[in-house]
Amino acid sequence: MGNDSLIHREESRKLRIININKTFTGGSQNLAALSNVSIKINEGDFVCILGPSGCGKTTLLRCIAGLERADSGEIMLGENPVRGPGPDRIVVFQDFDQLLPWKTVKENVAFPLKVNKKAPEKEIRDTVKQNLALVGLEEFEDYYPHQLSGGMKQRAAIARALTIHPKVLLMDEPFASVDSQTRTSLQNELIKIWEKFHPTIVFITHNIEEAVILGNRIAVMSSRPGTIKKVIPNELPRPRTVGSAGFSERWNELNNLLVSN
Amino acid sequence: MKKKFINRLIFIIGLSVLWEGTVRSGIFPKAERLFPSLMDIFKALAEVIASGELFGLMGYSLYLIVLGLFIGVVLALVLSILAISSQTIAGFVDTAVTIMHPLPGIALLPLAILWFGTGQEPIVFIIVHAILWPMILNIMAGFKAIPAIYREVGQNIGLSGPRLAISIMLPAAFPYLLAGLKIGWARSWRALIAAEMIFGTSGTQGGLGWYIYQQRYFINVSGVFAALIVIMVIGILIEDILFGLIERKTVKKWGMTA
Ligand SMILES: Nc1ncnc2c1ncn2[C@@H]1O[C@H](COP(=O)(O)OP(=O)(O)OP(=O)(O)O)[C@@H](O)[C@H]1O
Ligand SMILES: [Mg+2]
Repeated sequence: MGNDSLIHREESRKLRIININKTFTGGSQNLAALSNVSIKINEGDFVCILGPSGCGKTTLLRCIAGLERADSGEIMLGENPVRGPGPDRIVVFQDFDQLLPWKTVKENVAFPLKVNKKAPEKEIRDTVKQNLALVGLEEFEDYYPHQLSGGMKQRAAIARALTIHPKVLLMDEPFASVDSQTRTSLQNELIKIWEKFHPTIVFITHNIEEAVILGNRIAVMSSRPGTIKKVIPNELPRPRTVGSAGFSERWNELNNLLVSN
Repeated sequence: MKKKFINRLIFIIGLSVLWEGTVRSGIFPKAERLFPSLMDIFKALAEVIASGELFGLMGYSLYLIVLGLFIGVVLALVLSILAISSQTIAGFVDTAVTIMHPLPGIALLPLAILWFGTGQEPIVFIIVHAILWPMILNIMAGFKAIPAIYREVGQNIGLSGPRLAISIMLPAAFPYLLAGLKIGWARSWRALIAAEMIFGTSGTQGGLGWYIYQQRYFINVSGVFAALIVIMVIGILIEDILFGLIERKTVKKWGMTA
């Protein structure tokens, strides 16, 4: 493959959210969740979306996933408008109970590969093993979801999302429920995966520190109705830790943006 | 499980003692033949077993019910899946269930005879009727109760249409499906015995219901009771042992309840 086609391919995979609005109509009252949200995300970019609870982060992610339809505006993945859900945009939901209860952990993680017939049996088994090891669940591969803790379920869901190497990975506060040590190691693993496969990642969090550690860019949302207040490039050198040079400045900058609602 | 078994055993022994006591006390003096002693009943039971007749009877009844259940479950699944795929079909199915569900199968017998003649077909028809409607009701209720996130996970990884229905909706609704199957089994087992009594034979073959009818004709009350015991035992075996086993291997293992 020549250089030209590579560049072309990258451009054609750009994720563009163009001026979308979303209002939930629940009975008598309408609830504006998103208002004129626009953001362009290059292929392979790692964008964190930071915002207070209830500001519409999940709604935005569900619109990108095609699980929710925006009232107006357009979401484009490359040249194609997003019309519905699909395996090119894999979601890690905020919900604990996103594993299929009738499948073991192993079967859950293998499921996307099986459905999409991406690989022969043996290869699927290897990928599943690797991904389970990545999230520290290899000992629990034969457990059923109801036998796992909330954080373990979430880790299994992450392993499942990673198995088919989606072009776009949509993650909704995936590490919110794990202890800080596990969180740090999962963050490191996610960065490794991103550096290796360069999926486009949209990562929702309301943890400023997490946003600074992970994101290439950080989009700060205002409270309801959600708008994108500012997108900050975050080019601190990796690996980043709380003590890295520039970390606290970035943290303060984001914190100020968040509180100045 | 063990406790349940012991409880049942105690109950059955108690009932037998009561029975035998009543018979021997002579409260029903002239009616020995209508109210036989346990000994006579077991003799009759031993006879049908020893002659091999019982297995023919059971085999025939079980064959009919398995056939009927199979057709009923497949039809119920197909109709339910069609109904969740299309609003129009959902309307038809809903109306059909509303009309047909309360209708006792026996009430359809005359019609079944006119349509299929006598023999196996009308009985299978009655069994299918007995299981189809409660099964559809349960499957539909199950589909409606599925948490949206399972469907979304399925759609997210690229499933849609019938594949989504089979890979996600059916297993997610399985607790309801199983409940429907239990109700369907109970209803169709009763319907089968009743239908057999009315025209249980095709040629020389007949089932347990037909046997009861025949024994009544010969005024062999012990034989009637023997067949009743067999019918009860099969009912208990299927409901407790078979469905219990299926539950342990599925919904209990998965931590899912309807
Ligand atoms: N299906 C729905 N029907 C009606 N209102 C909804 C629905 N989904 C979300 N909302 C409303 O939209 C707003 C944004 O919700 P959303 O879940 O996107 O917030 P969030 O930013 O993800 O919050 P959190 O950080 O707590 O997860 C909320 O006020 C919520 O009540
Ligand atoms: Mg949310």
